[in-house]
Amino acid sequence: MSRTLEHLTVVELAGPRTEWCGKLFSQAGARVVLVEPPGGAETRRYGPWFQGRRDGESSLHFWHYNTDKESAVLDLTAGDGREAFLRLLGEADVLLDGSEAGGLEGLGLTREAIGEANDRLVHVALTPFGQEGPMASWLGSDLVHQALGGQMMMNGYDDMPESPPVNGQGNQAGHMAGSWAFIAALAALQAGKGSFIDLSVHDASAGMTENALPQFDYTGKVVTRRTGRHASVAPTPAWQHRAADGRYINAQLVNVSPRAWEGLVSWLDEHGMAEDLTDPKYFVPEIFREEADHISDVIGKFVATKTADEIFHGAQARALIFSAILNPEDLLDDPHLAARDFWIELDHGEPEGMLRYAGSAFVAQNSEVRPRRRAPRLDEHGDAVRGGGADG
Amino acid sequence: MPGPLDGIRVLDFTRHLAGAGSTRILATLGAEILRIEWPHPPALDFLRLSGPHADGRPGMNRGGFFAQVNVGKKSVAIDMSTEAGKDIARELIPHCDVLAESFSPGVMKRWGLDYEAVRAIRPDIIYLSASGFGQTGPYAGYRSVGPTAQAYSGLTATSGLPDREPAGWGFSYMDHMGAVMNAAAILMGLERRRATGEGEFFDAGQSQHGCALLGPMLLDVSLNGAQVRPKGNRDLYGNFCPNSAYRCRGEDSWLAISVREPSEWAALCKVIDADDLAARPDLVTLAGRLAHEDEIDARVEAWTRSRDARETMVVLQEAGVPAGVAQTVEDKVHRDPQLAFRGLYTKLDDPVLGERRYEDIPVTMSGFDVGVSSPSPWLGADTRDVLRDLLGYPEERLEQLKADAIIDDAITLEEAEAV
Repeated sequence: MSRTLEHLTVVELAGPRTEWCGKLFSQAGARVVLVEPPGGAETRRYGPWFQGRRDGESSLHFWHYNTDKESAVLDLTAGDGREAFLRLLGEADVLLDGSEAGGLEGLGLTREAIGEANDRLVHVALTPFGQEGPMASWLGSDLVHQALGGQMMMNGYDDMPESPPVNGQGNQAGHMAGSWAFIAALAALQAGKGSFIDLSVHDASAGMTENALPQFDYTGKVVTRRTGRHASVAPTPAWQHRAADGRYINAQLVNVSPRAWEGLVSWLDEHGMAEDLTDPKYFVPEIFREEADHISDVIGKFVATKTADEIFHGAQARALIFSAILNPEDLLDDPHLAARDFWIELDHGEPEGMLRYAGSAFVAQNSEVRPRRRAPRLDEHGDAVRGGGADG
Repeated sequence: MPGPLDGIRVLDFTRHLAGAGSTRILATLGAEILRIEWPHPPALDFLRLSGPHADGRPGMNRGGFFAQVNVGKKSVAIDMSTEAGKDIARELIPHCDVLAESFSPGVMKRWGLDYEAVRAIRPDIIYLSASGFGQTGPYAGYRSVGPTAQAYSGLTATSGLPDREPAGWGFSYMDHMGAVMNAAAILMGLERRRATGEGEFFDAGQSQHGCALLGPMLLDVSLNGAQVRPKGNRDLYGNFCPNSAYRCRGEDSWLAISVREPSEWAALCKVIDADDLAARPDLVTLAGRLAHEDEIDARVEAWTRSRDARETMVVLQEAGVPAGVAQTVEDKVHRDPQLAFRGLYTKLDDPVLGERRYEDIPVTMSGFDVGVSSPSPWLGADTRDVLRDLLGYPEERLEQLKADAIIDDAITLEEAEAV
């Protein structure tokens, strides 16, 4: 099957900020040339490591984010490296540039020089705080961006005095910004003319805190963090309950239909654990709200008698939006992901052989969005790229 | 200046943030979004009923969160439970490049508007079906909101303090990222259409997108057999150390600091007057610092806790150390000079809602005008214009359809306040 973006060529200047956007292109079949500095991309030195092997070709971080890409080492501080880079841009549709603000210009690779190489190029510059402004030269990290962006302050424990706000794991500020870079680049391509896109990771994360801004803008009130559930202005009932097997359940009761409520109550009643929830008064929204803590307690006691899986599937069968809180390793044998071909195998050659990777979450009907090739070894495609020819 | 998506028209059946957030993104880039909706289920967007409300009074056109998610769109009120309503939707299809929907699987098929039916009318349509778990697989009928998808995907379990229950996430991250991924899918489809002339169908599952966002944890579990457990704010894989949130002076005030490079470590030691730490050769390397992470964290916090978080952030950044205050929304709106400089919060006026702040987009694009530019539509605000301009319906027909309760509209302030 053809790949969704197989007609595109993307040049990616290796860096922590560009790699997710580069992967979004490469898993859709775009030719993505990863331009690495001598010594290799910094993220080749990021953990986790493949079976404890700590060398430049064994970073699982690098493997994950660089599937399908080509690697070419170009020394942009040297004239021939810059010439090869501009030549490469001449045949590219998109440049993913994760250098610090003004970084490329400092090397003589001005926007004008890049525009001369290719006036239809979409140049996406991903910086921590944007090209200009009072904090433009500041440094970021995933933790720093989730702090400044507001995610952290909404996440933590209100039943644990003095406990810190907590960030989300998995490079999520990078994912927020990189996904937006992908969107902006594809949008610019629709107009068929070049553009310089100034993307700020800080803006991307600061703009994703759900209802916090409307709450503040309309009521003047600030949401605060609550254990295992949404940050809110006023206290809310617990959603998160511990099941009999020690795992947790997310049991949010939002927009509960009468049918779902009846299903829940009769389920509890079958086990003699409905207490007074069989009372029809709970169909009155005001009473449902007033008694939310009590309802949560009754559900929590029931959850404690069942395994997390029993609650997850039993609740969903009754049209409730509950889920077991799965650990990442639980996904490996999850039947739903298996049915949707989420996991794939990529060939690493000798000695590793075929290795199991996560595919992509994009399921298309007429074309394919999924990785096909392992991440490149350092400079694996360098000769072809520096020679000016396309590789594969 | 035009937006890059000028001329792209979207027939929009999405709701909530995960669905309607995707067409918001397209709207900020210039696409014309025709929201098909109705004041009663199934085509009601429950977000229209959600708070906060202007002046604290509920109403279909008074919800602040709905307004946030639906800036720059048009609203066409059609009762999709009627045959006549479905016929109008079908008539709109040839005029649209994209159809996006976020109902439970099966609704669009029951209406005769599934991908196969729509492509028969418009072969190059880009069609997105966005749901909680996707259209296929054993959990296809399962229901999901942001926290469901976060719980299922492992995002919830990996966020928290060690040996405690999961912290949660604190908001519907996967509604935002579901919206972002859904916009990305539509744009991939449009880009492929530009190259091949062909249409495309995307079956998006919010939960599956959550799994894909676990990042390198995925390979850690599949290739190393790892059991990933939360480590608070420390880096899961030891790529940064120190890397945590440190208590500062005042109530619930925290500063995040991340160090990777030897130069950053040296700068941090200098700022916090830790000559003894700077002098220790074993702490120059990341591995050496990780072996003494408790000791380092205690030293950093002993220094920050008597200091103002914001002033300390500036001192550290000026010394070359990545640092950021854990900001509340109030901090972002009133105390963040960079967000103010970039204009993240755009103010728009609406006769019902008043002047309000809207989160703008994180990009500027040379040669294009992008971003939030007009408020959310009243329910049915554009019904007449769209049916007249695109389908050529004469006034008498519009009046008859309204009298028959097939369509509705809201043009005057009085009508907007009435629902």
